[in-house]
Amino acid sequence: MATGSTPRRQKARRSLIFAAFMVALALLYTGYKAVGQAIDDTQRDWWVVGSFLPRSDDKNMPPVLDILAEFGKAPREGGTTIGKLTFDGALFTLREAAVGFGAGTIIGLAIAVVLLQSRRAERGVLPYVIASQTVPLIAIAPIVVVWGRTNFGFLPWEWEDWMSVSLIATYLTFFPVAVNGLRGLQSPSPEATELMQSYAAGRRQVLRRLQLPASLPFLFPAFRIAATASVVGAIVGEISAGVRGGLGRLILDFAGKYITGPERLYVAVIGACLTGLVAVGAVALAERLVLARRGELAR
Amino acid sequence: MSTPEPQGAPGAAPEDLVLQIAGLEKTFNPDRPNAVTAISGLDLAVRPREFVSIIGPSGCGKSTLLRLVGGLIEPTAGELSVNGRSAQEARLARDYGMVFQAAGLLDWRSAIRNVELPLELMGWSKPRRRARAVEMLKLVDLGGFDSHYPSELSGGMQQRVAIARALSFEPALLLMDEPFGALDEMTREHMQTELLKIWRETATTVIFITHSIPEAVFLSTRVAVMSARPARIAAEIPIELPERTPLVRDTEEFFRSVSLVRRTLRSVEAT
Repeated sequence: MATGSTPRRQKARRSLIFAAFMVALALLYTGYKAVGQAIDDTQRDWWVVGSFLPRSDDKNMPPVLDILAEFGKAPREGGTTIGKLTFDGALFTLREAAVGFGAGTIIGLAIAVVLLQSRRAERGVLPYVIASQTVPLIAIAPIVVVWGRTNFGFLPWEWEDWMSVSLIATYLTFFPVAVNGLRGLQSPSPEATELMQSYAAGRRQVLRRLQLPASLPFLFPAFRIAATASVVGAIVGEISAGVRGGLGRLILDFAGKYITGPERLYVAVIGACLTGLVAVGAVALAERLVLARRGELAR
Repeated sequence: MSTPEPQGAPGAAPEDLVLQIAGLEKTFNPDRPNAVTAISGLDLAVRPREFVSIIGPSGCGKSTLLRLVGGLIEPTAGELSVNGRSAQEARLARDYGMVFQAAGLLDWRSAIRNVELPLELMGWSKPRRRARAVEMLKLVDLGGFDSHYPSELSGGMQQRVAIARALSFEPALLLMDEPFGALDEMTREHMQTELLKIWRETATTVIFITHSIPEAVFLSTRVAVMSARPARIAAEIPIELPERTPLVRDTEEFFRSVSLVRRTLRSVEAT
């Protein structure tokens, strides 16, 4: 801990910086909008200047205050507000992402442990793991949903469409975990491994006491990537598979009504950004907790 | 076992020996053109409670010998037994405590949890291994450092934790591969004194690899000089010192022993 700054003070300073950043972003947006509008207005006939910049009228860039006000408005009189709709959608998407993240982590670690067992397995399988990520997600998402509806009858619980979206998120999540996990599992020095051998430690003991703990510093960066990827995967999955209830569907709906209310789409997009931040924040929190337990924050 | 009378242990019956090596050979990549014979025709015998240093030109296969004794690699030919068992059996029976040049502590475990590691693997109960680890850290003069992490300890302290860890399960044989090689001269001499104290208190048998002649003389009851590749034990020099305190380094006997080892080493290198 740095001297003279209690954790509470640090936290306060951090929230202040975040708030200042958000305000700066809003000001930048408003400033650009004003400048763009001025160019549009004064040089309407000199089309070259205005045309290569994004149009900055109220349709393309609704005023910040209008966007904020939109959170409290309801599409139908007396109905649910846009803010609440977005919040509910975010929770729905976050659940898909979290399940996908969890499954992806388990699968990724399992692949890493299997590949660790032999160089031959690593050389033979790793290229396919990498190739798996070149498959265009948008193309397979509808297949996964249709496939999920018809093929998972054997499961003890009823398969729902959101689970198919989780499956898509899993597909994006397992990759960084597997690749970084393998590197982390291979990170202990030969001396450390020989030492474990001299204690007559079995393969499982070496994995649990040496290789897995050694891989954590490699895994957390992968978890951060995976957290973002799981949210992106969930939203894209919802959009391309047409699954209702989450942010993806909301974005699609609001995009369709852009002409009458562009602010709504902005609200949904802000919701998506915040959802991603929540996911990454959760991983960062977990990392801090784990590292504190390992005494690695004391340095 | 038909072993010739070991040189360094006159009159000792084989059953009195902790370590017995006869005609040991190690060839790496045996069936390939790049085959290297690191060790050939090596004999060595070590009695209980001896402190034997192995010294030799660098790259002569000292570490290979230690790995063979520790059962980490298999010999190509020859006999090697530890308390009457093969090196593999002895390793599986946890007869060895090993200390390498790099302390090799696990960064994510505090000092005490590092010492506990082998005991954990051996299935000791938590209170029992905690008590032993506390005791071991006291033995290496790190009483107040239980909860310190390796990154908070100096190189010498880390090495002492490694020694405590190696001794925690009372191995029959302590194998040390240049444990003080990475330390500065002052720390090194201090650690040597500490090691002698620990050796006396624990009545352990030690095989110590080094390329420092004064270190070998100060620590050992016997210095084994290895020849260049393919390595064997070319000479064994018993060390008689009036006492084993830091002051002995300035005595006539110490100089004489150092000089004897140096001359032996030189004649071995010349051949």
